[in-house]
Amino acid sequence: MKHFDDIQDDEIRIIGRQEVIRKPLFKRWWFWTAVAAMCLLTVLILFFILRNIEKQPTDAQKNTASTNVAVAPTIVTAEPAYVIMRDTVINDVPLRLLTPVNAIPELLIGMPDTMDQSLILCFQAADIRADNHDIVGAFIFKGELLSRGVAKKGFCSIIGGKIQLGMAESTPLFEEAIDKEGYFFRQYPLVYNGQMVDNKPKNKALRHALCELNGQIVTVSSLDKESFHDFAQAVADLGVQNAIALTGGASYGFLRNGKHLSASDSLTSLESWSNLQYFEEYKNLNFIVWKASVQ
Amino acid sequence: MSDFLTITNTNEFVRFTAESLVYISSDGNYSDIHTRDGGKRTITVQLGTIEELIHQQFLANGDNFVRIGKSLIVNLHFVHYIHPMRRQLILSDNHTFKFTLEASKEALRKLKDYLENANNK
Repeated sequence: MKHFDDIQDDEIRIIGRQEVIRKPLFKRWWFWTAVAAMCLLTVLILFFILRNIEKQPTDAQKNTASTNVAVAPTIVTAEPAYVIMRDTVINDVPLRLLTPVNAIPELLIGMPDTMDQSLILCFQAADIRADNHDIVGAFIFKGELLSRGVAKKGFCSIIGGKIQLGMAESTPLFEEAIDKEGYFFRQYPLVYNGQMVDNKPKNKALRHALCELNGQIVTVSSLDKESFHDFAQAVADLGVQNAIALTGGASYGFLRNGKHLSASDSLTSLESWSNLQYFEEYKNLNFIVWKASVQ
Repeated sequence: MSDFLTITNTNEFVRFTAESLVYISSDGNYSDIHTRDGGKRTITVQLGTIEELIHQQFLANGDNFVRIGKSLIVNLHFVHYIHPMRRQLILSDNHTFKFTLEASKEALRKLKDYLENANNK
């Protein structure tokens, strides 16, 4: 039996006379070309699917390998809540550290009520897009998922009154925050395991950070306009183990009844920065606030 | 069996009667089909595929055609002259057309033997 292509120049073949079989598929060049193309296509499709999955909001995935979580328990006692304020200068960057004491952290959607005496410290938390005013990145409010995305790898979860900071594209804390009616938001990571993390924005602005310092949660604010790089480096040099950014620039925030440790500043009952009116139109204006459990 | 050799691809449809086909030569992925009226049609089909089509479609009288080497299919009815040493094959109806082709000595010798035997039967 011969194939139709199986003939030499010194041969003849009477067509129809011999039993000629069709060349098997696996002996045809185009068959293997097609197989190779399909394999390549499959690999490419899988590659793009997996890549896409990685880029999608994957907080629900239980991937703890790349997660670095700093657990800083908030000690709540029957003592009155207050904020410890401390100013320092690191690498010529003037910083203000605020440590809430005896207060419970939570997220807040909408403008904070400055008349609410239980609110002792307030910072804008997740960034808001200027175009559609949507929250940037995943955001969970009392267990309700209000926004998705991992545009920023840093995260903060508040579950059972405990703040946990980390840097990962996915973390089980996301699901836990939903299950336990907690809070979760994403921001730029600034310090990871004591090392400064670089971020894309290069402009200078007033910066705020949520940090874990010696097992305590503190906020660190720059008193001058700083680049992300300089601010993150200063925060890292401060000895912070983990830190994520809070909304900077002209963001709104306040502290109440600060216990000032710097002799140059005076105590204020309510000290705010920036102008809240500027953000009132933002539908998803959100804050991390510390509330006094006992007033 | 069909009266026609029908060849189709995504772009073309062409068919020939067995009597109109004189020979088909190969040019790589193309084949030139030469007909009695002196015409030549080039199609994007390999010679092996055309042989297969002839085998399938002209099964009743498929043995009118012979594959000679890698690059020729010839209608035996029009074999007029074979000279293996000169590697010369002339196809003609002795009336309207004459095609002078070249093939290997061995193939032409085998063709000559085949036709002699067929003639003697």
